[in-house]
Amino acid sequence: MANPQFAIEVPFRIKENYPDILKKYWGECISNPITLFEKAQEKALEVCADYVSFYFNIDDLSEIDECILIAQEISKKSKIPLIIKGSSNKALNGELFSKIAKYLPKDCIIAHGQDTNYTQVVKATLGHKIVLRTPIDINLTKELNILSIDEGVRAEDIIIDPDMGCVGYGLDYGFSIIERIKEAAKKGDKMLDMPIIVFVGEESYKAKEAKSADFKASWGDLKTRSLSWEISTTVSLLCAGADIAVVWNPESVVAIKKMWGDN
Amino acid sequence: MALETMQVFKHLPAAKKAENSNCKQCGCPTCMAFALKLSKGNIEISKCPYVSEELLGIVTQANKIQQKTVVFDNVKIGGETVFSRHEKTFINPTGIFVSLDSNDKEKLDKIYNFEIESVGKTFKIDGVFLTSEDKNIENELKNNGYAVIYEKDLSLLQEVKEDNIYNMIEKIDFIRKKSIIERDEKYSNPVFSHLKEQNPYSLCAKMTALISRCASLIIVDLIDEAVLTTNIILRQNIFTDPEKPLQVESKLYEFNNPDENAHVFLTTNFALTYFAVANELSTIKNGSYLVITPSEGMSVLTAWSAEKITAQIAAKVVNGSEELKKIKNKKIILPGLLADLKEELNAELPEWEIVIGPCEAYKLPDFVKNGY
Repeated sequence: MANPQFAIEVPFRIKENYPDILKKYWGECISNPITLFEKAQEKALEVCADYVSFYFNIDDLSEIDECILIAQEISKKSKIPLIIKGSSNKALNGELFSKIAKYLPKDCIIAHGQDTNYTQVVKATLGHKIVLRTPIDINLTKELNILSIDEGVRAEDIIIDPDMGCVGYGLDYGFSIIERIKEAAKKGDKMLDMPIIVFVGEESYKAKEAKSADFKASWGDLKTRSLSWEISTTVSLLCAGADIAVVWNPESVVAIKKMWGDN
Repeated sequence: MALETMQVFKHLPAAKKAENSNCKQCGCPTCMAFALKLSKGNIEISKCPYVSEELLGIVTQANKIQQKTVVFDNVKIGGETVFSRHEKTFINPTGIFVSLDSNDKEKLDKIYNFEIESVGKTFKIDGVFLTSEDKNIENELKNNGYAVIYEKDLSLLQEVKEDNIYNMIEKIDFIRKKSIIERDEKYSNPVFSHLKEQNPYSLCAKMTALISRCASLIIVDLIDEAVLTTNIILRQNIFTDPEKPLQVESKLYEFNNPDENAHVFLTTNFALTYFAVANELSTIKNGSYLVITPSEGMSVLTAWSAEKITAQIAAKVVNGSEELKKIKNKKIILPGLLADLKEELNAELPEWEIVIGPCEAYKLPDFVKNGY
């Protein structure tokens, strides 16, 4: 809960459901993944975020060659610690990381290994910090940590992603599992004593409330509500004990850091 | 009551094989029976003439109220019994009040106008903190369903002063540890904070932190509809009983103005399932209908194994809909995990073609784009 860390995340592909509000925010640089990355990094430095996260939201193996080129470019231009996030397709991620990991800086965090791909992901990313994601189940979290350590990952290189939903979309599940993990770690469970990362940006902007103006007057204006949705999701999970929050709107970092406190 | 039978028993005569073991003077056949009743709060400790000072101390401590409950008109706050919601549940949602100068007609209007609906419930501002005595406004507000409090009412509570989030959390966690865990009477009053913050985003962050750490009451000076709405829905999440999964109503839901060419989807009424699918459908430009079955709030797989989703149940909801009768190209997209239901559903709904959709909601937009 002390000194939360923040990452600014941008996607490789600007897909149909990427919010208009963010397209406007980033401006022209979204036309090219490298310029978008650079802008995100610039913003991260400006708002004192700790990382930039680049989200390889690909759908097909055929896109991996492009990812290799992008990964090389990003590594060259990287000025602050990097997080590389794979797609939502478990099978693709194994392939993706095995191809791009060698181009990434040593201190790059790679997200994520999961139940059906962790052996491949671990093999590809050994030496890097790795995010292990499980579907909001503390027993599965512990199990995947143990299995990955068996495959050679050092415990201190693991970052837990217990998965989450944003405000209004199951936030309570993520909230409580984070509290339980922290409680267990405090009681001495070494297999749960790792930092926790939450991808609040991606989840918050899935909500209609964060993207659409199609709401009655009492729901407020879209701009305020959109940013509030991400701020509230983030603050709540940080209060539960999350350590790293990966946001999509840099203004969330500004607002939260201003209010968090100096310690 | 935080008492265990064995914890009680070891203080009783039978546990020490002392004289008076199982004397029955308490009305129970054995000391063990008395211990069981006492741990459940079903008998008074005074019934046993041989109870030790130590046990008396333990029972008195266990009976102490952790956090008092305070009621302001129709708003109940405090009364919490666990430190973390996952231990059982939080009970009384954080009251959200707005401060008001009785001369501020504009702000009063804003208070009356604020109303949102979420998951089938209506939410308004819970109450008003009047900054000066005004019987007329007070009565008007109460008649309209709002609680009204004054400065003097705050003496029933203990304050966490407005500060940065880290400091406020530290203070509120300390108070709640003292009251909930240690049962220290000095800290048993419900906790409130008065946020005078005027920047909406700063206010949002502070409100969220306090609600997430189970504050009993928050008074805000600023009325920002977006911030209020966000935090009311957040409050709903934090104060949901972890053992009672949130359900949505079983009915037909519409997305993006569906007409007779709309897509038709079906799934169960577990709130998370509904929201996961709803999120995706709201991004599909062509209108959609979503049929939600009455499955006691169970997710797709759970409902399937508990037979809370069957062809008959699904068919009943589909056939009961006037809108669906107008669909030209009658196809229903089933969750991939319910593929086994296809044949039976075909039989129940002969007018409809049953299509097996993806197992995961996030794949719906692509599934639809690729044509089915």
